[in-house]
Amino acid sequence: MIDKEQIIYSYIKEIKHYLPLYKSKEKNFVNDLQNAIMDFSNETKEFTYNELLNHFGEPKDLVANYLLEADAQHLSKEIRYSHHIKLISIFSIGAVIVSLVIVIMLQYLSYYHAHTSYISREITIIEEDNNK
Amino acid sequence: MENKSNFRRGSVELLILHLLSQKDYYGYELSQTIKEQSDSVLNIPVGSLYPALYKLIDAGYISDYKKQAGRRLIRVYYHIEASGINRLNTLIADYNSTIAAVQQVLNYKPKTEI
Repeated sequence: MIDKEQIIYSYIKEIKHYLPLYKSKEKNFVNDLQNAIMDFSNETKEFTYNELLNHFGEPKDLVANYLLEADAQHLSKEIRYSHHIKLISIFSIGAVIVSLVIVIMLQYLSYYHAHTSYISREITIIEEDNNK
Repeated sequence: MENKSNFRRGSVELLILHLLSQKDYYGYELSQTIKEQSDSVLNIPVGSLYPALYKLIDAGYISDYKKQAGRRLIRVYYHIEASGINRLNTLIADYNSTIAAVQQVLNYKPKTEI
């Protein structure tokens, strides 16, 4: 039988998975939820994952309830912020990749130029005039 | 079905403030007390309870404090503030007038035309 701590850990992990953002308010919520589950755990000798689901609800329903009741202003602000961060990250990664491609191309062109060019030599013999 | 849930959801703030006006509660205790006292008719999921508590804290109606309960468990207790008592009185008045108004509409029977 899986122990209670393992069941609680799996449940909390799934809650975190369904939360679209994990900022201070959501961390607070998960902590409070964990404490509530600990209280349930202290009251109940043994329980299965399904019994925990019956008592607290499916993780996705619990998260849906949270999002439904949470402060709409906080949610929209945080979602917009994370959207901007995502855009900036994508743009930065794109810029790094383009720069790398340009640098590699330039390096290759200079190598190619060096490879295809040939060295021409001209020998000039300067002889000393011994008659003087 | 959905309307019934919405009607119950609207009473969460009133129930929390009412219970906190009697003593300080921690989250799980609040949810269990509401469930037990309503014979399981009102079962507020913790996913709804905590955001409601956070909103009440943000509004200044309640405050919270931590208390160690056992070796690894720290409970967060909620305490009603003076502004919370005023808010509770407003909500009770609003609830009573709404119930009376709804009942009045439910009792209404149109006069049959002769």
